[in-house]
Amino acid sequence: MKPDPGAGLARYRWAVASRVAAAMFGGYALASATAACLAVWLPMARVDAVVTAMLLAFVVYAIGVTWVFATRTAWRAWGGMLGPAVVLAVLFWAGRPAGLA
Amino acid sequence: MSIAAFCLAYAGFAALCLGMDRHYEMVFDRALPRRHRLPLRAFGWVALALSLCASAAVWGWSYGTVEWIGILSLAGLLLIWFVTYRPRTALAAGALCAAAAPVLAWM
Amino acid sequence: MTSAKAPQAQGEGLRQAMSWLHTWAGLVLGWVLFAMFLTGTLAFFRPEITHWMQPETPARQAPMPAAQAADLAQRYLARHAPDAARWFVDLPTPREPELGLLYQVPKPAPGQRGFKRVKLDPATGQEVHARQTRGGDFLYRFHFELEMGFPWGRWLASIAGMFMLVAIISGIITHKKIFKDFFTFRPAKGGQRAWMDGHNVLSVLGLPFHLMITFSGLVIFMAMLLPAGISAAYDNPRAFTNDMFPTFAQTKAGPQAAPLLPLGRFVAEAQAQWQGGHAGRIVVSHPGKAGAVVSVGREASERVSYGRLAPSLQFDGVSGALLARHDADSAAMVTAGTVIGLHLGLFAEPLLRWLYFAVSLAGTAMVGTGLALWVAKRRQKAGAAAQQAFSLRLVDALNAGSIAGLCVALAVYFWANRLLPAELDGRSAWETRAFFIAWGLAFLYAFARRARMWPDLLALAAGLSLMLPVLNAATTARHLGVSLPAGDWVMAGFDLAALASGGLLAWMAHKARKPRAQPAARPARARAALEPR
Repeated sequence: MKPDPGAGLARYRWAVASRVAAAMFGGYALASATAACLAVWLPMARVDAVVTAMLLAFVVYAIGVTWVFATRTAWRAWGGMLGPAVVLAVLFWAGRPAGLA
Repeated sequence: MSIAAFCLAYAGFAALCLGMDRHYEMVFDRALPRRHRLPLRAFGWVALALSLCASAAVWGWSYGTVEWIGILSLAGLLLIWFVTYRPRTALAAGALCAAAAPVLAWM
Repeated sequence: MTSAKAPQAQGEGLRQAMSWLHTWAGLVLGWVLFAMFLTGTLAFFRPEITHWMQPETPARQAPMPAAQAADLAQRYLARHAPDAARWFVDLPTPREPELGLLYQVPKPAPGQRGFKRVKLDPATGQEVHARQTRGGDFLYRFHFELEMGFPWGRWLASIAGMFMLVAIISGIITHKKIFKDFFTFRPAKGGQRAWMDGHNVLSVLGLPFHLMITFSGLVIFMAMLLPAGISAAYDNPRAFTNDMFPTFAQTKAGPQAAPLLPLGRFVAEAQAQWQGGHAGRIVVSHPGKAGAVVSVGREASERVSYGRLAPSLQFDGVSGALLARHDADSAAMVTAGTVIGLHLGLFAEPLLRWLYFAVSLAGTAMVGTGLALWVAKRRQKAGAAAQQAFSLRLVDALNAGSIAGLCVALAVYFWANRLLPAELDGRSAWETRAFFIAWGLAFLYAFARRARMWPDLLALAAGLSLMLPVLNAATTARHLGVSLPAGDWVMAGFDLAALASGGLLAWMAHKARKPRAQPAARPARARAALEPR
């Protein structure tokens, strides 16, 4: 992938493992947060909002995973997954009473 | 008409293939002349578009689009298969398909 | 990598990263994905395969009209399952002319399941009498459950699907000359180049299909995979299911008995409401009680989006009044329905179905050539480095076992179907056991005889496939000599496909036999992955 010449094998492997985790678990967190947030905020009938939210969440997950491996460092990868996930989760929480009609 | 759609797809891909330097040289043993490039490519795209129309004529636009994508994949794979082993025959078949398509469409 | 890099170098860095991602996303679950792709390809012909595996069933005829079939089903169910909480009826279709019934058994005997599945022959109103087999359903279910317990199988399949989606996306990004190399296939170059070309061609030409089938496969399990979306808006997940699938919505009923109106009239009324649209399935909740609900769903094959999200009408089973109408025509429903419907392909008429099959086979080959490419690349690079040699041999053996071995296993499955006595108790379990035993033995062979694993396993698969129509002739009266003149295209089609697969496998076995020093021969195998039977 992008072995940093001076860093050593162990460090490289940690970086890879970190990205894989960021992609799989961070990405899942992001996808779930997206689904939850959209399900609550989309101005449609409840079942339609949930379905649309889940469809879009899959797209977000796929793009997220791709981005995790394209971005510069593993730290950025985690930030890019968890940061938006937290924001979306907060938005979901804020919209929750309205969504659960 | 569905066979016409397939013929048009095959002919279109054959033309696009021939319009590329690498494959033109395989068939004609000389470089692709500039004046041939545009007509070949134009014909190729037009044939592919007509293939979509033929497919839609049989099955309607939504269903026909799905069929067309399938036809394109199959025609493309077949062309590549032939072009690899018998480039001249493959592209002659393309010309044949181009000729046959209007006939089939009329039937 | 710093931000001071020139854009071109950055592009290179991205491509390298995506190449790495593509390789590992593809390899880690590649063997599972190959099996999913091959069984999924076969599953497009699920009822046809089942039909071949039950030669006692008569050749397909035009299906019985829906209303008539519904009444027939009702007569059977009223006699055999009067106390069931729910009745499910799958009405006859051209591809599946039998009546499929499912009913819940209120108090199953210990060890028995809580529901019973029955197929009726519409001509007689009796259960179809044919050898017990899982038929094409085994392949269909294996495709998304991998014969693992619920829900682990489908979770693994879904994770594999996600890896596949990532592999496709990274593959697109990393493919530098996607347009320039569109028609390029150079088997003569041999080794890695040839495998790479083959892999690229199969991937790019089938790209719309591969992308669609992978994404839609995940969408099918979206409720299981992303429950956060449901719990965000629904207190009770059951309410979501009822909203999503109103045909199957659960209802409460009163305790008093009340006669159920003839199901045929509900079917007729539904079809009138749909202005000629056909009914596909009926769900009766609480038959024979007050408050019984008859739900009629539209036939899946009528529109792409009807695959799982078909319009439905709910009637009061006792009074006949129309209770609710669900047209499933909101933008979200049509979109989700279309995505899912494209995966299932239930709407496809014969030509399109064969196109689906062909491109899906190309997808299978895409996965297979990818796995072979991994080995070819490293073989070309590997010097005497022992480390590389081990992983290379391991992957090559796993490849042979899961690719060639699966073909052997599939052929054995069909052989077992013909060889096991029709009256044998538990024969369907023995058929699938034979499948797995054969597959396991193939893996063992691959690890034991690494030098000859590819030609030997492919040759075995080829031989079994080619002999399948002969075996059919020896054990039944529905062989090619009979089915071709009679125009019985289901039986004949299967036999012919077995011959074609056998021929292809034989050619591949032949190519695999050439000595390593001439890798030029091998790549031709890249063409059409591995066919079954």
